[in-house]
Amino acid sequence: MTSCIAKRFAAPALLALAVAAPAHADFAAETAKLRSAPAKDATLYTLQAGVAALAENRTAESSELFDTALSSIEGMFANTEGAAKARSLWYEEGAKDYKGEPYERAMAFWYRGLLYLAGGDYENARASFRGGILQDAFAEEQQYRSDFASLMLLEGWSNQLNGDKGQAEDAYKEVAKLRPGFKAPGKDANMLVIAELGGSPRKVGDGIGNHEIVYRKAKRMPERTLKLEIDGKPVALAQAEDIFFQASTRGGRPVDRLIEGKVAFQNVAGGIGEVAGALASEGSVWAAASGGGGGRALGALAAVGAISSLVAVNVKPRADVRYWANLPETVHVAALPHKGLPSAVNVALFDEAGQPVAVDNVQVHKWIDKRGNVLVWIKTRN
Amino acid sequence: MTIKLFAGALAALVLAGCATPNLDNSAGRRVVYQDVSTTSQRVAGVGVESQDVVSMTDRMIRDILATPQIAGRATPPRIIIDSEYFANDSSSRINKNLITDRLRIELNRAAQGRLIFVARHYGDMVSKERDAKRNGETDKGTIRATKAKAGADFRLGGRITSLDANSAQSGTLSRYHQISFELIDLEYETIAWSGLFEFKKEAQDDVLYR
Repeated sequence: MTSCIAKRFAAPALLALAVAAPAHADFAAETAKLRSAPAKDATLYTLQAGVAALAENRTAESSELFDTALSSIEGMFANTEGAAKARSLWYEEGAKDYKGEPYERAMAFWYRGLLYLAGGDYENARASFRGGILQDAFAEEQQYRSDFASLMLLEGWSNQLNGDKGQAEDAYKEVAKLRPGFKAPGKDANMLVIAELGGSPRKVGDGIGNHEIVYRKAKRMPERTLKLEIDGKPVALAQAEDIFFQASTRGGRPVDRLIEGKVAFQNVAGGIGEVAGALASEGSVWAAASGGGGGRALGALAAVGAISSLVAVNVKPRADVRYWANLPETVHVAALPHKGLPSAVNVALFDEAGQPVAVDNVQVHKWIDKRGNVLVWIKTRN
Repeated sequence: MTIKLFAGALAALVLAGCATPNLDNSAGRRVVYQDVSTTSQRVAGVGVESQDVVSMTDRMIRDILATPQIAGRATPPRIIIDSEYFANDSSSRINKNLITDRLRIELNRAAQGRLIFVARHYGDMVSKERDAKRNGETDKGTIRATKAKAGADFRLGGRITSLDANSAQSGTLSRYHQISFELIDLEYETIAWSGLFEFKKEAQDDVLYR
């Protein structure tokens, strides 16, 4: 196993990444966040710490963190206190235990699968990628109808390395349906290159009381394509996934209807409070002018208005905008034959217009398993 | 009037109290031993869990011991039970040794000499010691010396497979597992014994997670 970090790129010239450089401090920071996080956010910070650990080539810690997170993601949350709170009027959706949206859950399986691949455990890698596909599923009985093609590609790759040719071909056929022009890895391929570019999709609250989630791309992380050389030879990578697309095309959630109900209740309660308060106020002026009574009734009306307004103020319709902050925006993949671990991996990044992008601390890690199969993992942001 | 106002203020206070910051102030839970053969009340998934491992291995042990071709031979047959040819082709991540180790150990204890188990998974360890004995690095030990290590008559093969169903509408996830166990005749390449264990689990997530 080897690892290295690319310091600032002298783009468009390619910079050799063969020399090992000091590791990032992100794992320590993410671990500190995890330690101080409330229980409901533990899974979120566990996932972030898992990626940070992987970025520092701490595969054992990363595996353990993803196992912990996945046990929470795979566990069924029924009748939990956090869920009951999040359903109530008085707590926002973020009161629930974090489990992530489908694209985040799928990515948790993605990283666990990569770690299994790095360790040469193809069967559990395959199980992980299948688990990820299932998280992104919207149908029944293996008609997954999922469009997370990169997970299918990696399922196929795991099958190929495990010697399950028929299943590998099936998985690659599924990928080809979703990604026209996809070329399945050659039979002699033994090295997989994964490049994760850009930053995580951001969840932003929108609408009255931030009751809607909208997705925004990461700021100031413009890299969209890369040029790669391994041991002096150019390697063509194909974009296998757009995580932002996965996040933003998820569609409406059943919980959105609950939140809409909270908003409607808030509006009604606020309206009652406003009207009752106005009536009491106007009524008292009218009563004073006409010299009449009715003070008690007007007082009761004012109290109803005040209570309704307080109820409206305390309703929490805010949607859950916690998000996994160190995911990439796009994923690029190549598979090719290679003998042993590559000694030099050179990366240059470009934006949508093809202009060079300078990035600090690009992570490049390489692993070779006992059967001589290689995984190269590149991540531009942490 | 004063009472009503006071009641209103009190109601307002109660409502405001409902919106105190979310604080997990649960007292925690001391460590307690759980029965490995029952489902946890707190953490459960649709994958292979401890109670499944216990149930499937117990059933296979009973079945193997009830098979005369395996456990009823005049000369106890030699058997290899490890995870080398026991494949995980399912959607569940699992350490296969959990299954094969329990099967081998409990079968060895229950067989009481009717079956001999070959420790192929410790092959390197034995080879190193044999080499040390033969090149004079250590003495010969006290039991015996053999020309070769034990050859096996049967070896475990098998596969874990699964079928998933998922409904995003209802948040229901269902997983059917089928786990096959077979003992292969290592000379004749026939299957001397087969066993199957299957189960299906279904669970529905809270509406908040659908």
